[in-house]
Amino acid sequence: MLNSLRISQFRAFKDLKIDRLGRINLVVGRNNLGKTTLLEAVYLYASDNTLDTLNRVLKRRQEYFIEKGGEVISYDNLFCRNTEQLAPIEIGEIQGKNQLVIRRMWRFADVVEAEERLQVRYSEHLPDDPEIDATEVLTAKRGQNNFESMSIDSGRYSRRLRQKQDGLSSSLFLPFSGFQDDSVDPAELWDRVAVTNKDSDVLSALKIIEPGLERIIMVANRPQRQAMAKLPEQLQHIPLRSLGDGMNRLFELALGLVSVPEGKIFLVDEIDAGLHFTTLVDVWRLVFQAAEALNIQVFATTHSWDCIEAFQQAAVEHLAEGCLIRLEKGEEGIRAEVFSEEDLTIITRKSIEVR
Amino acid sequence: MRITDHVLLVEGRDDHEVIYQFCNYYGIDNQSLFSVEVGDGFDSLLKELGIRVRTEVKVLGIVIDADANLSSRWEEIKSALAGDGYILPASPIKGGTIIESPNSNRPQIGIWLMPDNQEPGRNQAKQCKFDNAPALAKWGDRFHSQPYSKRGHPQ
Repeated sequence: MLNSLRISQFRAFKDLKIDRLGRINLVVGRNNLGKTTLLEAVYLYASDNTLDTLNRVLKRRQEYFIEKGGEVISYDNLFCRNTEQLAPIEIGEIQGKNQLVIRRMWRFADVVEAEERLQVRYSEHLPDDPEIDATEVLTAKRGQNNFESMSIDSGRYSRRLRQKQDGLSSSLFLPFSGFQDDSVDPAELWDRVAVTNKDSDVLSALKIIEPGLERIIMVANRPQRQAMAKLPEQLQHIPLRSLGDGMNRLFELALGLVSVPEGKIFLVDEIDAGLHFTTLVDVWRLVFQAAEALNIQVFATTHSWDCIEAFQQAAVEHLAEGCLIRLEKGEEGIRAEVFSEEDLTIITRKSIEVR
Repeated sequence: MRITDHVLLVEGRDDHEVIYQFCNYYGIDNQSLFSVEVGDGFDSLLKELGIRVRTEVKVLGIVIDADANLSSRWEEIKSALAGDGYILPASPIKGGTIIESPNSNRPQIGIWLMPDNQEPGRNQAKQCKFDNAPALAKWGDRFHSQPYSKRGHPQ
């Protein structure tokens, strides 16, 4: 679990410090202050394949152009714009050890003459010898054991991991428009959930909106599989989507909660998207219960006051700590203010504007 | 739209009433200048203060009763704001205290202890006695770049 967070030189964040985090964190703030960017930074940090995740994040942001029939991802907006030098991106806990460092570098082969062999080198500068072929790459380094690099031109991606990774990718990001937007297939998540019998948890979560719901199944509907729901008054299964945006959102939210492995992070952009305000307290209760029981950390964003009030209500009912993080424009760039559960009680009682 | 960057915090409903009458008397269009937020007494106001300074408010006024012990009230306000870097004088200033923000992320704060920053006591809402109204108006003007009061200040 992240106990604090520092993001340097990443997109709009010159140097963002959040000195305290809870198990459940709700991020608020005006438009274009970087609420989604904050989630993306944590996503990169929490990801096993940082550069692969980075490509997905940029693709979702439509930061690519089409060239020679292929998509070429643009890394121009990745690094913070308001610095003269291209300083590396750093993401991690404040004074933590396992900082993720992303750099733009040159990769080239250097001849080790004594041994008559070539050695791959990374440098911030081009090699002195113009004959040497250099490739511009992005590198991602975490601690001493994990190093990735990727060519900027081709987007070709190579990894060198000295530490063994556990099979499936870990932390999950649920975008505003659904998992599909992060190239995650909900049907695949469902399969993994179903074999561990956690599908019943998803079903009971969906009863927040539709108490009579009996069953969820996945059926082939090429090219993808589609979630179908069984209601008591209907003989046949009907598409879950036909039960409304809120139902679909809740499905993906619950699916994400039970899919994130223990100790990992679940990121949810605009958590209340499509959900009616009357469901929000139950939705937050679900998040708090799941995060507590499954030992995961959650970061979510919202614009809605109802969502903050519901968050507060669920937070006081549960042991797990909830934090409200407010992003705002400071003199030195975007900064964060953290409010505790105790603060939140006063904020909601007195309707203090924090959005 | 509710004004969120200029906020006046008062202790309770009576104080709220005093502020409205005061604004009426001086012809101050308070609704376009600042919002008045009513607390639930002194202790809760102190807690609220600690949160308000961390929101997007730029100018924060506080009007509270001195009650029986002015100096102990002052000490409590002092310690409530110390954590956010505010340095208050040893005792309240006669014409109302104004404290500069310790950094650009915190508001400027003005404090008025009813009745006159010197004597113990409470406001006299019901009698509508504004013995200290001129001084209060001056404090308000100093506190805000643009004068609130249209009637000017009696010398």
